[in-house]
Amino acid sequence: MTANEIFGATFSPRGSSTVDGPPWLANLRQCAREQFEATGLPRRKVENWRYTDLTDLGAQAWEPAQATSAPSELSAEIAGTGPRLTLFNGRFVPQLSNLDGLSDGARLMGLADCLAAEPTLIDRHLGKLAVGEAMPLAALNTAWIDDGAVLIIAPGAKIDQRLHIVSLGDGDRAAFHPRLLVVAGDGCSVTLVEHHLPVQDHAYFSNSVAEIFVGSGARLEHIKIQEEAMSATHLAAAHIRLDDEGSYEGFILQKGARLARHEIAAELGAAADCRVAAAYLGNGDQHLDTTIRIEHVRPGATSRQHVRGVLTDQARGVFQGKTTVHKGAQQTDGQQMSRALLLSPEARFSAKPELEIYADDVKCGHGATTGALSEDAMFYLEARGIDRETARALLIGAFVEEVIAEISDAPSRTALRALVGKWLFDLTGHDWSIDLDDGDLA
Amino acid sequence: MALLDVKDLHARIAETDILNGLSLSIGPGEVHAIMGPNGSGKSTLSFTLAGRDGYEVTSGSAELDGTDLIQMSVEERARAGLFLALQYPVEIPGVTGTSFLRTAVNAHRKHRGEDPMDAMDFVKFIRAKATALDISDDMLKRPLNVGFSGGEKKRFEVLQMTALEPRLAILDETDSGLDIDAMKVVAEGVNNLRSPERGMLVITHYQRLLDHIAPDYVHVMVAGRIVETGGGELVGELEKNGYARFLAAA
Repeated sequence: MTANEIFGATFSPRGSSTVDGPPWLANLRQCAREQFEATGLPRRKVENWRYTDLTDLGAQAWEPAQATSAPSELSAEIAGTGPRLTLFNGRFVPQLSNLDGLSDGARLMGLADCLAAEPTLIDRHLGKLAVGEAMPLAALNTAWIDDGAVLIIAPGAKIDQRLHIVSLGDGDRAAFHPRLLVVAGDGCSVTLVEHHLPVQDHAYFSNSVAEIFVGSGARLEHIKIQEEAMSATHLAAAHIRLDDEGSYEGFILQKGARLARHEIAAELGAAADCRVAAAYLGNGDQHLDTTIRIEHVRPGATSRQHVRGVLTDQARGVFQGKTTVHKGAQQTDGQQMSRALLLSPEARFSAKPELEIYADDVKCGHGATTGALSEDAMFYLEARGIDRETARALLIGAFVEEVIAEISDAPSRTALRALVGKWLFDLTGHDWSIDLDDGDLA
Repeated sequence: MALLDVKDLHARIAETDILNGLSLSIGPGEVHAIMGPNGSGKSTLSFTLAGRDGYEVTSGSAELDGTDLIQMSVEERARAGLFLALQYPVEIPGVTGTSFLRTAVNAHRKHRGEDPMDAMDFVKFIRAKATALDISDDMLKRPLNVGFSGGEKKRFEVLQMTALEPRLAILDETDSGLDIDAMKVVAEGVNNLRSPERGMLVITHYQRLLDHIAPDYVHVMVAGRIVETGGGELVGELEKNGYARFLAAA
């Protein structure tokens, strides 16, 4: 069966779900299902999907992922020490989670549990952002909603813990639909790390959707690390709404999956601040897409998009950035920048930065560059006695470092440098382990 | 034995001959200056000796401490003790000055079979040298050369040279873009590195740097060769009369 068939006409609306939930949920699923059946998977004719082709995905046979074979433990490296909620093929796994010691003011729980026990916590939020005809994958996810992760931060709560959500994928030809809901109450502050990775190198399909509400004056730092299996497909969308003076600092690292996309759709309230930095590292025949749409609907908001990618072998990178400034959104400050570093003649990068402006008192700009490593810089390093591969690692690392440096959370910067370093080691045989924050002149 | 021994060196860039039989011998402890008009091949000589890609040696030889330089890669030459202070130091965003220097110093230490210096030890090591060159902690922490003034970039080149302690230092128009105060700081840094074991080659257009770094020998380079060699007095003559008589002869 093709993806359109299995997810569309013939699919069981509940799959192997164990949760009924409240009546409104059934309605939400049903509407989403009808919507997906009407459109099918996105096609390249749609502007938003111009550079990422899902024809192969639609032609492959998929089965709903089983949630019964979760591993018995996480590696220490992944587990970390702080509070953590783990999903396995989209289902909450309590024994792989650590929710003890969660700060007052933070609720982190499985979506199914929340729907069963306290549906009123989320009935004003779930399914409210990730809707619309232009979002067939979100509809597909919603049609399959039965579990996921919910994070609720009480108004005014300053959470100094870093909260982790781990999504594990497993199973060849297995499809699952992780769902994440974040409600950051007015004036709160929190850092969330979302980590996607495999149990083993299987060709699974993760269709992830996050709905993120940032309250008035609230601050959310959201770091997403996509390290899926190298033969997997990872399609993710984060739908974000920022209330007045809300602040969202997003960072996305994409290094896994054969086909991957992270899409952000954000709507900004008055004087809101939305900063998205992203890095992608592609090799082999990977296709890594970062698509960001930011809507300035009220005055005085700021948005930043800064995306950097490194591509080698036959890897393909895509950046689509669109900043829309609506009529009432005067004093908007919106900037986009995309830079790609191509390390091989076969690597390809497509960029489509766009501004659409209907207000007259705004400051907006965009830029995109593509290039190879600078020969001047290589010579400079080598002329100081640094060997060629080390010099390469240093310069590529430095290129990526410029977006990592935008992350506020210092431990996350360190963790991301380690991931970039691992990738660079595989590429160059040399460590990228310069200490930028920590040792030097501290 | 000469420290640097260049014999009848011919080199070209993209089919264009630039060095046309250049010979030069620098002994330990000596400071040599090469002066010459634009286009005489001064920078080509420095890049050719450093081994930069695209600078092709067609004949002749160049040896450092009796070892053939031509067959060595850029980084091997650097580790063998050749240092080139660039005319236009490259800006490297994302790498702090300290990280860059530590990576370079540790590459040399590894080559000598020594343990790498950790971050804390290195800070102590470099801070003392930096202070002498009027380089602040803030400059060390900033991305390498990014947003540095011309003078700051050249001081940073001299700091690198100080940290790497080369056998032979080539300064390629290190005086370009410097005001008089920056030039004094740079010259003092260079003079502090003069030692009986070390050779220096100062490439310049102008007399003013050589007022502060008194060379033992001065060479005039025209059309890819050395056409005259003298002592410090040659500097004054060039400043007064220009290169006309050498250009006419060539």
